[in-house]
Amino acid sequence: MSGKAFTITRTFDAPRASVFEAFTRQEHLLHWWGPKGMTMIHTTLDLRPGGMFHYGMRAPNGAEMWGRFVFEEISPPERLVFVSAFCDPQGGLTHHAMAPRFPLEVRNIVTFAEQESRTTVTLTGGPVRATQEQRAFYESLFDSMQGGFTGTFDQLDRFLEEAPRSFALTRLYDAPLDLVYEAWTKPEHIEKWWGPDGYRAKVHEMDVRPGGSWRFLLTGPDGTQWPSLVQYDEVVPHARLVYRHGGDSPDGIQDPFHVIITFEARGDKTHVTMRGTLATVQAFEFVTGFGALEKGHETLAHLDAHLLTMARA
Amino acid sequence: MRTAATDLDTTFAALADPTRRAILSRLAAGEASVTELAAPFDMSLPAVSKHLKVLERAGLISRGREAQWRPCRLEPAPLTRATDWIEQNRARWEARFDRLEAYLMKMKDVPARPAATKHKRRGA
Repeated sequence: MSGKAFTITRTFDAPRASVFEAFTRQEHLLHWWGPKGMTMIHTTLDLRPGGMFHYGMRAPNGAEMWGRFVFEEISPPERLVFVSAFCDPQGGLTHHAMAPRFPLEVRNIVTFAEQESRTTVTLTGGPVRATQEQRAFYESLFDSMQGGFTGTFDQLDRFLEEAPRSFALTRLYDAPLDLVYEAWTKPEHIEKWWGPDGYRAKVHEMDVRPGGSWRFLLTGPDGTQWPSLVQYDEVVPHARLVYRHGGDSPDGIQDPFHVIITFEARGDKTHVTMRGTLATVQAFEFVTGFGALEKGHETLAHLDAHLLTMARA
Repeated sequence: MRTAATDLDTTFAALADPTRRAILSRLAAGEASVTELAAPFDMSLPAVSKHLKVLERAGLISRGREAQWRPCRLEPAPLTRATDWIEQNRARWEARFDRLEAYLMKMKDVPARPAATKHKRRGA
């Protein structure tokens, strides 16, 4: 690599294996990769040397941006090398529409170093087969790239912070996107499958818009009733729903967890991902600390020091 | 109305306070009296008792009846219940995704869906 390289370093409060996974699994990348404010609308990932991470994002103004990584070296959990580029929806190389002088391809070397269960990530980037002009342009962007990556790493930081109290699911449905989205957003449909088995959901109100609410009453097999409330924070039709889901009470939403659902057409099929995160951070960390031990008071005592540190934080 | 969710809410509400978490940590090492529990804190005994009441209501501690000093002891069951919560939710969502799959098959068979008019149904 001749010319100057771009470097950014950031330390994350998570073990190295988790951070490496965040960089190499599509169900993780879709939650943090890319500039702030963009919605991931497509991801495929083939993790092997020569394999590709291909992604599409949509800006709030509706503009789409497509990119790809081609992996060169995958050495978990310490080193990852990939060539990044802007591309078209089919994955073919393109120049960035707004920056035609940007190099077509940039090789990124990412190293992961762990110390006391925190991980320092160092990303070094340099153009591949670039002209003198492209290289000069690339080097002129270092300041704004620092800013851009800082925003992206803020998102990774938050993703990693939430990971211990989150769970994720993905599913490929043999049905077109419009049908799947309708099943999620129309009362007459969602009542039919929301469940659980043996339970009935009766929708009182469903306003799938940012700031809108979905109120429903869940009735169990023994007649027990759960008034439930969903509050939508982000709605990107046919692509993404972000909401809080909990009990409906006069004091507002109870015991909520945050949910992100993404929808993506894959030919005639629809890929759906779901991520649920418990809202109460400290309480859950505390609880998992105990839960990991499971059995008895004797073992609980070993956690004492750790828990005291946490309680002081 | 009392439900599993409100029980869990009580557990989390009790755990949300750092003093109460510190008390539980101390009790993880064994039983203690109110005076012993209050020692590390710059806090009056009634204030500590208030925290203990919250923990007791949440089922996170129990108080001995036998001895006059009524020792407090940790009750780990609600904590385990809370940890299980994430796993239960995952299982619930797996089932929900299954039901959606079955329901989508039914939706595809309904001929009168306006959005589906461009995909002509073949056969009866």
